[in-house]
Amino acid sequence: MKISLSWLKEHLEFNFSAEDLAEKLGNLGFEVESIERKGPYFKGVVSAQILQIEKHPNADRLSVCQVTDGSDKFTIVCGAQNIAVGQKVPLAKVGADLPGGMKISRSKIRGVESSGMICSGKELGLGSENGGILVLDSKLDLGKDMSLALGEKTEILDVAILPNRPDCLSHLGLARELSWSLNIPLKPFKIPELASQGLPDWKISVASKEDCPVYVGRVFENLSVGPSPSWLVDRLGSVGIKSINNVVDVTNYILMDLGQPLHVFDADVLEGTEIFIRRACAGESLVALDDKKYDLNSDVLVIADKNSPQAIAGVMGGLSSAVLSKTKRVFLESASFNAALIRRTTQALRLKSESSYRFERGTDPELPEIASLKAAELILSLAGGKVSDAVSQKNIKRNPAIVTSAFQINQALGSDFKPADIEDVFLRLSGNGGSLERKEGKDGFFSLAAPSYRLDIESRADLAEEVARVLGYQKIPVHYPKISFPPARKTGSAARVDLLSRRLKETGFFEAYNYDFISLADFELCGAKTAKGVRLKNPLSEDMTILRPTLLTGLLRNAQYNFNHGNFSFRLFEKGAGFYDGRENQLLSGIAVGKFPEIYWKKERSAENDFYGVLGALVDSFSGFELDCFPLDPDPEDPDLDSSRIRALFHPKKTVEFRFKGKVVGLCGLLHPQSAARWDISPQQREGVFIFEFNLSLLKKLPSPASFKPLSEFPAAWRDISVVLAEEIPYSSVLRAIQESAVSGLKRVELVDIFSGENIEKGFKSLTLRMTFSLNDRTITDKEVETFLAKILESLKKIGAALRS
Amino acid sequence: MNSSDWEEDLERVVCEVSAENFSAILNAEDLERLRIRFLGRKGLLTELLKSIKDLSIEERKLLAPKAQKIKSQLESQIDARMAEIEKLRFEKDLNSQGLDLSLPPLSPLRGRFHPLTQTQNQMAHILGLMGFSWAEGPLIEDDEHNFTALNIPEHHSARDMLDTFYVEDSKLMRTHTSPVQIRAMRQKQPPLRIISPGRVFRHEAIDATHSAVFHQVEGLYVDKNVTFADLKGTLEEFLKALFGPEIKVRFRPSYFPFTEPSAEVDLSCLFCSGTGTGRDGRPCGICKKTGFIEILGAGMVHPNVFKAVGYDPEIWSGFAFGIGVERIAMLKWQIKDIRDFYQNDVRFLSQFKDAELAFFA
Repeated sequence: MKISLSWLKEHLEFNFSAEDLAEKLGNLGFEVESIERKGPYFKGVVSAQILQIEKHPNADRLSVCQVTDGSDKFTIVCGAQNIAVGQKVPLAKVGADLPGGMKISRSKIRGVESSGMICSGKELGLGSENGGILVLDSKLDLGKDMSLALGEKTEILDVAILPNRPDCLSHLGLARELSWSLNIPLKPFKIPELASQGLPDWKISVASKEDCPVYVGRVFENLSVGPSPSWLVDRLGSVGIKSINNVVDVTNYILMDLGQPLHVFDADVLEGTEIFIRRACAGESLVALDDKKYDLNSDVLVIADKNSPQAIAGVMGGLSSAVLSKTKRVFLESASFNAALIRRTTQALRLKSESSYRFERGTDPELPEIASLKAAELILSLAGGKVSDAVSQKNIKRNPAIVTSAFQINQALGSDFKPADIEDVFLRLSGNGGSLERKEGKDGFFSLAAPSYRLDIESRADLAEEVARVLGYQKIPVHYPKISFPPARKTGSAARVDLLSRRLKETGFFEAYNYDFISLADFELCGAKTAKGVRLKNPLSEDMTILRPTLLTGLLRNAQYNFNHGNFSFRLFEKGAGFYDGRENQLLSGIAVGKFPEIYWKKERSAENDFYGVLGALVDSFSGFELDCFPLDPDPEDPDLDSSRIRALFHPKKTVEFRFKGKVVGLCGLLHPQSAARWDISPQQREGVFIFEFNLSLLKKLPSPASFKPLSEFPAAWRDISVVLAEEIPYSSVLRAIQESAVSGLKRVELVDIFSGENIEKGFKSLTLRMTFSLNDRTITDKEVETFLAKILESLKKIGAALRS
Repeated sequence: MNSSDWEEDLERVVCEVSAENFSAILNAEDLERLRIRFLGRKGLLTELLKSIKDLSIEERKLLAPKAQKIKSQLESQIDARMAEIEKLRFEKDLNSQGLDLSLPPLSPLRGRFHPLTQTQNQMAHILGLMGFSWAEGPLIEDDEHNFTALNIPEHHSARDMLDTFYVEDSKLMRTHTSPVQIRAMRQKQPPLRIISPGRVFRHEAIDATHSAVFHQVEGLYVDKNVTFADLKGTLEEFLKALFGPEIKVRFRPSYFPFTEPSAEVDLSCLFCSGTGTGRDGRPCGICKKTGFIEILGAGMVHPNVFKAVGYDPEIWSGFAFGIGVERIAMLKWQIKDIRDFYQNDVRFLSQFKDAELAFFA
């Protein structure tokens, strides 16, 4: 909220600067976001008249003006479009100081010498509007010092008022806050006494005291609605409010001054002489002051005449009953409305105003009456006419009394403030209409009720905050809580994700972070069913309409991005939630392309990121989780399998599924060529884009602890053998055959080479296997190794594998 | 064989040995060949020593020591030359052309955690040492956990502070990780000391300083007699561990619906050391001359929150705080655009070496 320093001084006696005020406000919890100087902060500017205007010889948009200040003539180059001969304008003469440190000197502008500058309001720091130069009153004498003739100097502070302090959304409100907390006297606040004109013939009818606890109405007659005096225009302008006419300006002035939203109706437009504060009926509508039509319903409180709604209560008036220059009779409303109700209305109608901003945060129920009087006094002084006494309905609830003691406050804060200081805070807080009583029989205890405008003080915690704010957060000591047992740790799924990401990181994967929102198009590319996705009701954009069922779409986008930026080799992984079929799955996914390192001068050290490399990283990372690897099931029994979210992304023949207790928990394989094309991944890259995703929610929590097998202390012997077998026989069958030979001394089998071509019959391949033998109780002999080998070869024969001759 | 023949043979062997130019032997193989010629199984000296058995005992007594002496002299001569040859070999190797040590070394294949993970882990680690355990919860929440139980009733203007994404069934994307605190408190009786790190969502247009998706680390401590002074102590030590012992911490009044009293916590500016003036003598642009930067929000748990989870606010008290992970990471590495975190350019990701945890020292 914009607070004018000079306005604030009308309520509060103080001498400190705007900067000091900002610091004090900050310490009280009101952050000052900016300080702006408004008004005539300049020197050397006088009133002058334009005598002649010619086009600048070298610039289309500039003019050359002859100007006089009454005694001398000046040639001025000017860029404004709104100048005319005869106008009186502010002239900054050579040597003038303008706001923002600008100094005027004689200068050539495109070849024409200019001895000064004709100023706009903005250049003089008088307002932010930029409608060309400031045209002065034609009656103004020439040569006058403009810093004396143009309004008051003030600083405007932009103060952040947090939602719990609506009572500070006005100059009086903030002055009151500063007054009690800094112990500075508030200037006496005069409640005007109006000569009684008798009650009007008007009645008010409030349908629900819950909706509208307080309503005060007054009727004005014989008003002269017209422009406001300049002090009022300036005041409102300084806090960013446009002047409309003297009557409407008074309501806005009272709003910014006291914090009470008011509304004025053209009473001659209203049907009948009764005001109804009621819920709207279905089918009713209103064209509001913003010239938009709003359809109303029973959730909206309206101010109506006998026929129809004339205002959306607490939010905005109707266009038809607006007070205009022709208006003679005015009905002034000053009321208090239910905060939650007004908020529902602003949300439902998507309509907000300065009034609704205050009403939905809560207003002082005692204020409508005072504000109505103040407004009446001001309207009469500016627009003449006469005013009736008030018709009103009031149902004011007092703030609850809170029982506490200085000891309790110190206990809550961990502070050692003196009881007298705390009690003094209580006393000052409860002034201005609240109450403070010593509790009989309970030593040191008080019963405190906050004033009516402090809607935020409901409990002891609220009082503790008030004490801390006023006596200073920095005065509360620093204390360390005692240590806690058992020691802190990560458990369950958090520990699992932690472990797996650490392991993946060790195998060269960089961690990526993507948004949870993706486009519908990306969603469908995975093969997921849109009906099972979770859509946002209020997405930010087309690209982010649905929650991701998989992390792979994001990683594929990252791959695309990296390719476009010259990065062709990388391993990325991401951990995060995937949303599908009513579940929030904990996913771990990755993508790998290119080589590691991408380029290396020792060629043999650069390893391709191929299927087996990626699979190896995963098998290693998931060790202990008891997963088994199978080729991707081409035709799963259950089409609603969890992996159906992403199956479409994987190459059907170059993908393995990881199963835990028979259930598919993850896929790893080559990106499906079709997906690659759709994701705009170039053919060279497509050859080797490997992706994986695990649904960790389907895994056991943590891997089984590693077990240790003692080693044989006797030397081992090894043999390489080559066997020839049909090409289609998988390596797993070879391993199984070796296992079935049940050779006890065989400790390890390693695949050394796969070969086909020369000397190998077509349709066959040769596998070279290294077998390592040892015994646990003695050194193995050559003869024993030969016996074992023979047994193994015997077993291999059963799958058609013969020793290569 | 008689002794004079034998002696003659020995003389001949001695002659042959002395004819050998040891210093001309340049490699171990040639030296070995020499050794075999004299000392091998069928070497000249070996044969001669074998044949000594054919002599009489007196002759043996006289001649054997002589022969043995010659043998051991030869052996030590060979050993000495062998040592020299070895030395020559090392010298040759050590004097040869070395490697081009400036060639690019091969880095191990190793990834890195995202800078946000590193930042979050570092905070969690410090808080872990202070006894805060890790807790998590769902990203899709209901109104009750995200708002109502946190003392933000429906139609309360405090909801303006938390622009929300909604999904079906009146569920929403959590706007803070505080719902995790509600879940934790409903599950367990105090005392309780947890952090809830994680992802949160705000319905805000994305630009250089705003992200609709970001991360928080929130902390909660509930016990008997927990005070605002405890909050100050905990956060001050936490921030010192995170940013260094020289920083200053400032608490200012603020408002959050779920805490009372509430505080905004500021840190002395990391860039101008709290002076408000940069190294170039110009006003510090990071703290805007104030010498302080806003770092986190905190406060004493509101009694209404305790009531909502079934804790008696007359018995229990506690504090809570929340810190933005992106903000800390941006400050730490001077990253200007929050969107950089979500681009996943490997050139970006590879810059963040694992964060040091210097406070262990």
